[in-house]
Amino acid sequence: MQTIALHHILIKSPLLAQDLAAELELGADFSEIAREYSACPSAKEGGFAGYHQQDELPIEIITALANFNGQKTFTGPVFSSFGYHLLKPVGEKPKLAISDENILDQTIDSPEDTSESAEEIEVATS
Amino acid sequence: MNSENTPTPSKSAYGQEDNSFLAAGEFEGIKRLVDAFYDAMETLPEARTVREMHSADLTESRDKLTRFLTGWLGGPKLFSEKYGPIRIPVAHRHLEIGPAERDAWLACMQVAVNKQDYPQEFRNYLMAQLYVPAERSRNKD
Repeated sequence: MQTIALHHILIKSPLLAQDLAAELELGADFSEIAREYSACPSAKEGGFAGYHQQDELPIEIITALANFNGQKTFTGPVFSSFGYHLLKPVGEKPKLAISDENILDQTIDSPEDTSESAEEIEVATS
Repeated sequence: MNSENTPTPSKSAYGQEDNSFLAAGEFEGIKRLVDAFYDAMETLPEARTVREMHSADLTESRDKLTRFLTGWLGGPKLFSEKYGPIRIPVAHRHLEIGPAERDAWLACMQVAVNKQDYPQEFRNYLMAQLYVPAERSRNKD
């Protein structure tokens, strides 16, 4: 299980989240925005919310970090049960666990991959 | 496959990628919007205070707002290219902005938005979204 250094800005309003995302894109400093606007106690750390095991974090955050393409300095807003997150990916990307849904897809597309997927599931759930 | 796991803040497609930039008519459309905005500021009586916060010559203000909105709506980052990074609330700290000034600014924007050939849905989206930086720039009650 991978450890993730979570850097985020937690916003309760979708409109504010969108505006802050635009501002970050225009060059604003992530930690400065975090200090000023984040609803998470990590605001005072400039958005650094500590190290977490992958399965401790909302799947929406993991998915967004895993899919981050590096074109911007941040990603989001990403909605979770906590609110809207603007995420600053730091360190290695999380690897997405295989869901029932895409195991099924793989089985249909390429039956020869099934055994491999099954191994990965074991790793993911062990 | 992951799109379902990352719901967007708004159900509307505006605000995603450069959709809003395109809906606003790209650079030329935003320029028309900004011109209509400053024209409204010159004429609306309730906008006198905010007009007086600007220079007599609005050429640079027009250029700045056009470039800012282009990037803010998801288009090219023309503001930072020319003027460097900007934080809207910080840039307005030297001004006294209360609810009346915020609302006057938004009233000018409403006039300008209504003059554009935008779908009503986009007008509503734009006004709701513009309220946010306007409110964030407010620095007194």
